[in-house]
Amino acid sequence: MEIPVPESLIQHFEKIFIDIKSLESPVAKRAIKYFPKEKIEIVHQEPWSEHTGELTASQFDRSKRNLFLTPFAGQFFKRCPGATQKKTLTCCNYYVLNLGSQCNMNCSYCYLQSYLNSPVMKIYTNIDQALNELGEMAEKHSELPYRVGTGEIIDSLSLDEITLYSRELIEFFRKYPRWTLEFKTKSNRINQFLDLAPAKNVVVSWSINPPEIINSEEHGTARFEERIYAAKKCAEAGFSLAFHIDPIIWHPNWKENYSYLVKILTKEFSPEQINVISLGTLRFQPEQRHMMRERFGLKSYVTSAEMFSSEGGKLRYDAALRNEMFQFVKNEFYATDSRWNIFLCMETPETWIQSFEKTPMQVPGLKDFFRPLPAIS
Amino acid sequence: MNVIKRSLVEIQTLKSDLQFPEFPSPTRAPGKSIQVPLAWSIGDQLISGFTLSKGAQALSIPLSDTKSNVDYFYEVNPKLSVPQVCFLINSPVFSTLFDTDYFFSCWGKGQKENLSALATSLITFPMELLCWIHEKDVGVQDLAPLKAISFEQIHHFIESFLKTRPSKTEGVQILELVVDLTLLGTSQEEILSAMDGGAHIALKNLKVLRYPNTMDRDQDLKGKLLLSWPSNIQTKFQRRGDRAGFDLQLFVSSSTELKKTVNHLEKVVEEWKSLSQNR
Repeated sequence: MEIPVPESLIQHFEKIFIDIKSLESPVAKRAIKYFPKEKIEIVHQEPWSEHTGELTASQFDRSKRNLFLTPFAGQFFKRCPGATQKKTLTCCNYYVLNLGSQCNMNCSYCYLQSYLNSPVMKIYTNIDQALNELGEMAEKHSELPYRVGTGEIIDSLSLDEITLYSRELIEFFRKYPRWTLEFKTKSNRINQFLDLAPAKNVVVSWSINPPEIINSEEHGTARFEERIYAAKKCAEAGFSLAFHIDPIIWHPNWKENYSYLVKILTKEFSPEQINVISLGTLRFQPEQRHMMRERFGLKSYVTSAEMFSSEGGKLRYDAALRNEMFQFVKNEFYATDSRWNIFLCMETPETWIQSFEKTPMQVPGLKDFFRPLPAIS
Repeated sequence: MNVIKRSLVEIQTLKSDLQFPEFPSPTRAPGKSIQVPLAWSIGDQLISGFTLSKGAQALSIPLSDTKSNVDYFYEVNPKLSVPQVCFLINSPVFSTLFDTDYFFSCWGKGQKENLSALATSLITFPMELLCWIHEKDVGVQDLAPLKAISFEQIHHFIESFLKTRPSKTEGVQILELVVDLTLLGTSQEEILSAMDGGAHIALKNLKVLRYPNTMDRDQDLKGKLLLSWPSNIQTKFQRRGDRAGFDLQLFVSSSTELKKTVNHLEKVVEEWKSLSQNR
């Protein structure tokens, strides 16, 4: 089946730099086939490699429009950053498989603004090595319920029509039914894998917000209705789903808008179809506010937010407001059905207790997510 | 290291394309045997001493390759403030005189891009503000809010800002709040009236403008100070980052007194709950 790279992606990129070492990779071959010749440049080193230190706002913007296809030399498989802050945060057992870095979409709150210092978006072309690394771990611990996501520092699916990595990952995870793979996205790019037989342990998840927030803060992402439609198609094709209402963003109509979001999700999907719903409120590293101010001004619900430093160093809303927001969204779900599997992402034990009156280990549907597992990376 | 040959020359004979104004407290090379003169130059480029009277002399260092020029420059001026660096990198002859990357490896390590981005706008700000930045040794990161705004947008506030006589920490916070409020569209009058007073008061007032919802919430919580707290407990409202609440200080001298206080506190809990329910 021919899966072309869509015109919107071809238009998006100013340049595709191909590392000479990646020239024979399937991803590079697809790029050469589908992108116009003038956008392709074969290089011996990373573009703008003389850059050191933090990125400026304009360098960050440029990095979103230029793609570098290159092999990755480090470790692909890592623990989710939240899990490394166990002293301050209550986190689930989540591992990340980084197959690239940077994102072609442009959310005002994106944490990559303070996380990345590479002047170019990257896709790692040596997925075979990534799968070997993962395979070794999976062989050793195939009976333990590890959860692995590919959407930490790059969207899992928004560039998938260039890489087609979803197809390889689905086939790989089929061999390890106790392990779960999560594709986390804000796009609606799913057709490239829907012809495959569904694997029960592959979860397609959407980071989602009410339409007003998507329109004002999540630039270049799939619209609300597009994400819902894509999720329905995945559910029909037999994939598990998850939704991440994260970050929940305060705005004057927040109650009305989050209530609408919950109404649509609970109308379109059943608790059986949705593996998990995670909730998180807006948070970012303090230094990120400067880049956000430069890139988005102050006429944004994110940059104008009232944020305060919290335990662990990130800026967050006032704790009482966070609690009110969690309670509200959670109660909206539970008012329709008590079986929704809801958890808080990267939150403190205090907020868990205030919002749920218990820790995640005391919530039947969440025990498996939070039960300590041996660290394997 | 090469021995640098120096000579004294009349400043009138020098070019002054490299703008590097003297600040009230010029940085000097500590512990160096050579006294930094009032003016000095690299080759025929005057580096400092713009306000010197006619006939003054400058210490002149011979023009060399762009890397050695950085070395010479570093020897006489190992520490530069952000405004000084900004003036230098904005000068038309900067890149002909200095190796840019080497320059940034000496001053502003890892901040090349941020300093360059800040340089153009910063030198348009009034000298009084630049002097404050220079004197307080404010860093590039602290000045990041100024990258999001033009001088025209905030020039009305500079005088009031300086009148508050802020410390470095206070000043950095006030500047950021003023930038944010300006970008949020808060009126000039409101911002100016918030800055009418010392830095401590200005900071407090500006926060009320920048965080109105949280301040309302805090005000609401402060109302709980009126609950019938036991007389042996000192209650104080506090905001600690993302949490607001009460700091309670208790003094007891016997278990009976402690028991009595705990019982009293239980009544406060009920009172608090009933207040919350009646809202």
